[in-house]
Amino acid sequence: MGGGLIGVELAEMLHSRKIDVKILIREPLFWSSVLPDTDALLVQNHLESRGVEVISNTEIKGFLTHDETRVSGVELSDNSRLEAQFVGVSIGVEPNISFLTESGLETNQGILVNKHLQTSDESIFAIGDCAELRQSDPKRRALEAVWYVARKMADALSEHLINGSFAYDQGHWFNSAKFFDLEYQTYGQVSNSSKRKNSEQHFHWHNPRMTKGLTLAYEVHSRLFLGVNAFGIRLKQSAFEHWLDQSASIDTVIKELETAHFDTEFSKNYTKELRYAFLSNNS
Amino acid sequence: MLSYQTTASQRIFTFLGLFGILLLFASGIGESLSISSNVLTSSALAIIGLAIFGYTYASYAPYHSGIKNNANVLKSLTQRGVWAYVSALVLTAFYVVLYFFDAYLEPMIRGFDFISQSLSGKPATQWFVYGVLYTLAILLFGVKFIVKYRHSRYQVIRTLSVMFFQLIFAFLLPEFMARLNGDLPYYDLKSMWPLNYYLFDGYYIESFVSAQTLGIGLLIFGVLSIFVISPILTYKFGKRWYCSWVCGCGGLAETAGDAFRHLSDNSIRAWKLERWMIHSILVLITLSTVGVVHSYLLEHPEEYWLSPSVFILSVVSLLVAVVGLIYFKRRAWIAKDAKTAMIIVGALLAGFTGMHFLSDTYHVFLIPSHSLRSVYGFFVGSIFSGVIGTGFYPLLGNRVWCRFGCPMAAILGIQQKLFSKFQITTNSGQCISCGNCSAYCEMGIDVRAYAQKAEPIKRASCVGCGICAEVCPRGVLRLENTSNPNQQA
Repeated sequence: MGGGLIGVELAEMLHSRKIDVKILIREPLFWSSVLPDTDALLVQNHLESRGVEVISNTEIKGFLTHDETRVSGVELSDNSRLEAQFVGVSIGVEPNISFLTESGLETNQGILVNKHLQTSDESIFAIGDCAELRQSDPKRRALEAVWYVARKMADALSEHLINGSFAYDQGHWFNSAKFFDLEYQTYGQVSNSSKRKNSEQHFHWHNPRMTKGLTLAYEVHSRLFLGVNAFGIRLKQSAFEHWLDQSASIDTVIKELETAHFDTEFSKNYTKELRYAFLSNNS
Repeated sequence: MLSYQTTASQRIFTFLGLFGILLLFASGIGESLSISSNVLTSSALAIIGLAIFGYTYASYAPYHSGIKNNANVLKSLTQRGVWAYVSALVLTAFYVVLYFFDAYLEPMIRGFDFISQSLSGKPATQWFVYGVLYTLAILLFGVKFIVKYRHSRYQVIRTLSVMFFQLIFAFLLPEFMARLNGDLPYYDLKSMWPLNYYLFDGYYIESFVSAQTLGIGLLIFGVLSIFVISPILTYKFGKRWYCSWVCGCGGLAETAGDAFRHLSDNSIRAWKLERWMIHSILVLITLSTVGVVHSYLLEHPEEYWLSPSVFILSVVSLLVAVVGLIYFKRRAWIAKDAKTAMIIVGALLAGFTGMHFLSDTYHVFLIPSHSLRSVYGFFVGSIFSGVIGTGFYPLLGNRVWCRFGCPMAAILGIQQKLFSKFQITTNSGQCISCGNCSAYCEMGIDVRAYAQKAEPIKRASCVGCGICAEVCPRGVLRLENTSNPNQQA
């Protein structure tokens, strides 16, 4: 149960051992709490093509057990029951900081830190999934529990400890994952369908087999490029960092997309097809 | 419980393959059973082919394309279990018999006469049989490799390339050339000195020369290959153009050895051993080749325009030029032991010059030149490249020879490290430290150590198979020919 990155990894590992898996999610589409519906559909399609059933719009009301020692299934919100030998729960991360309540450190959802990653006691630092920034980029969350953020924080902190003053900069958001055989990369901001404002426009392209897909987000009026979600396509991070730094327009990104190519040599080049689709969409 | 390690159909095809191999060795006794040995040999080969195709189908057809290395570390054959030791023993024994006790293979060899007759018009030898089996292994396991990596065009094209070069250049062309011109020695056009260390042996040169224009043309091509063609291609594409696209040793390692690539030792200790071994072998083969040619020229003073002194002088000037180029252009790039190696090369140069004065017809450095050459042929040519190199696939990984022994790889490696546009580029800070790249690197390179630091990978030993980029779950690695060759990675 739970439609995030850990849930899908767990499902993949069980599936590789020839164990039948079902994924139960609260959302209407897989990971649509993060992905726009076009992309969520692409991922869900991929999971189903691998023989994993995704049961959407479902919550678990309770667990069923064998003589109180082993789980035997779950009862769903529509009162139906599913038999199971194993139930994996992956419904997100929340810092477990209850042991700090007596410590006097200031906490909110996580441990509060300044831009040097110092807690309210300046000789104590906090980084990673438990650290919550007092001042964060308005477009970003103050607590970002992902690997790359933890790594960046560790880099910044070691710099701070060795060379004195160095502030942690959230930089441009990026993340990556792999859903079975489908690689995913994202740079910048792409809102999901329910949070997307009217000023944020999405251009989505995917190949007919739905093994490659790209969603580019931009502002309607200024045409400012906001971010990208890529599926089954490898993109060069430095190219997107450059465009985001330069506040490049969506038209520049489309025009220069080839420079962000990071697929293995001899891979089919999709940029022509994508550019054609974009231009015919925008004229 | 349904096993996820090996399925029933995989087992059936494995046993069918073993049966085919037994039948092949038994083909010699066909006559006594009044069955034609041609029929037995052909059916044995057909059964082996069927078994490998069947195994491939059973392994990959039920699944979608994509990286599938499931249960690799749980299987006896691929994780140094009993089956790994059994197959290493059988393979090694086969090589020992092939090299040193070929009389035992005689009945089996006769079973291949009809194939040999139809190609070159000569009866089969043990090397012809080995050639057929080697080529079949690359072709059949090549198909398996292509099916496994069918989602990647780089892997598919690269594998078609090694299959093509093995079948046409290593196997068919030499047979046809022998048919056209009986004086011509066996010559695999794609194999270069020092990999074919015997290229400049007296008897080899004589048979080239006696084969007139074609032979001399081939000899010139052989010299151009290593001194001109190979440096240009390595500059542009890295050593992969040879090691994982053309070479037969590499071809077998990539196809038949694919299941064992994760067994290569990743430790720093192995890396150090590798550098000392491979470069020592390069020095040894250079020394013995120069010695062999030198004595040959001394023995035939009237026949060639090249006098022994001119020969020694040109070898010394060439080496001085190469070492000088490395020293003045790349001094800052090379580590301490590489500098040590350059001192060794310096000593070697002094040695060559001294050799000229201390040598008579049969001695180089006061050591009989032909015994130096036969020591190399025995220990490196036979024991290392064959018995250990291939026999130990299931124990030490599939590139033992390429990594620790091949003098050709040593030369290409120096070029790749110091003068090449090839590198593996890392996609900024995207590595998640999973370690798949290091685990599946057949050359034992700790790819992850570079990827974690977002550094490009420019290593002498990298053969550019591209498997690190395939198994990376985050698309962090990319093989590229676009790096600045004057900039240290």
